[in-house]
Amino acid sequence: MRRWLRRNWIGLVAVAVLLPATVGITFATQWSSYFGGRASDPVTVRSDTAENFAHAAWTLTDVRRVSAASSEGAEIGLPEGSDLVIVTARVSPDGSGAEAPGCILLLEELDGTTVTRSWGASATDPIDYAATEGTLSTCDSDALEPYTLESAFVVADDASDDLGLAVTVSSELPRYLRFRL
Amino acid sequence: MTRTTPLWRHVVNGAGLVVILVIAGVVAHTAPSEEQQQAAIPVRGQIGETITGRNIRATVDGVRVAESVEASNGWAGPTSGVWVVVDASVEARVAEAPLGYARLKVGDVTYSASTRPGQATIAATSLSVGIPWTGPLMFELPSALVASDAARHAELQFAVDDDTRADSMLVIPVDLNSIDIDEVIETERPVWGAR
Repeated sequence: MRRWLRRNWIGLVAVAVLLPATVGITFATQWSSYFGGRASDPVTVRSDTAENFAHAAWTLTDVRRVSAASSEGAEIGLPEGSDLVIVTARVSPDGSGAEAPGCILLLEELDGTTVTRSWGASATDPIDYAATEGTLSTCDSDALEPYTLESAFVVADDASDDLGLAVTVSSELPRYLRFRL
Repeated sequence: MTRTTPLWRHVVNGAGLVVILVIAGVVAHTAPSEEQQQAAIPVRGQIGETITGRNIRATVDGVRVAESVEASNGWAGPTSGVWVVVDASVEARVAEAPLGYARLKVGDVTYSASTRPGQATIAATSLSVGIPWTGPLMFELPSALVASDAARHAELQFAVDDDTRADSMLVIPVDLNSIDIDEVIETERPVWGAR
């Protein structure tokens, strides 16, 4: 046996190196292309901090939570068992000549750094919420001047207060901006 | 001078080869096919029970059958067959998604929930996370099928995506034979919010 090992050691070492390397490279390639195409790398900032992201400066200016059980919630027509979370941000395109970002906004419920649930903006939800005058409900890719973004999310009333606003810009993937609210 | 390989080594090599071939045969015959690997993952439950999948939670409150339907939005459903009306409550669990797959399987045939009644059903509704939509789903079936033996073992199937591969599919058995056929059913308006 020892003689056989001595005779074939080069081949055995080659197999021992190449086999795991092949498996590792295959997995790494597949996973990196999977995660590279989706918002998987959050740039987390505190709610009171301005952040440059995707050729614009982002500042969170206000967060409000309205319960369906409140009089304001009833006026808005929130469904039973829900809250409305209204997030306001100031977006200042940096004037670098690049196109200002179009974006997707999501409200994330967090457990540490793990996203447990998420909600999209309530633009198509059957509620009577009217956004504040002069604000936009989504990013304006044509804007060159600063503007105010106000997004509303209808969330389950058992959603924790550990929430994050996720701003995804396709050109920045897999990075995305996450404001801890 | 040549050395001959002892007989026992030939026997051991042969036996080893046979063992490898047998193992390869067992693996080849028992490994799941691609279709099986990607099949929907069934989560079974009963009428009246809340059933939970990866990104969908649903409760079927009842199943009715009628010759015609009057929907809450005024739509009337004339049919040469019958309507199977399913009263259900459905929500997403992790991320918002459409109720992309709501079907009734009878025998080998599956029927999609009708979208003809428009907003009067929860078919193709966008599901919110943790905030259920409650309302009817309507399936149009041939009359003879509802009376057939296969209808005793019909199944309601719900999933969040039209492509059900490798994701939860809620499955609720229904005995359509045991349900009396009404002349007409009036359905309630879908309601969004906790029940």
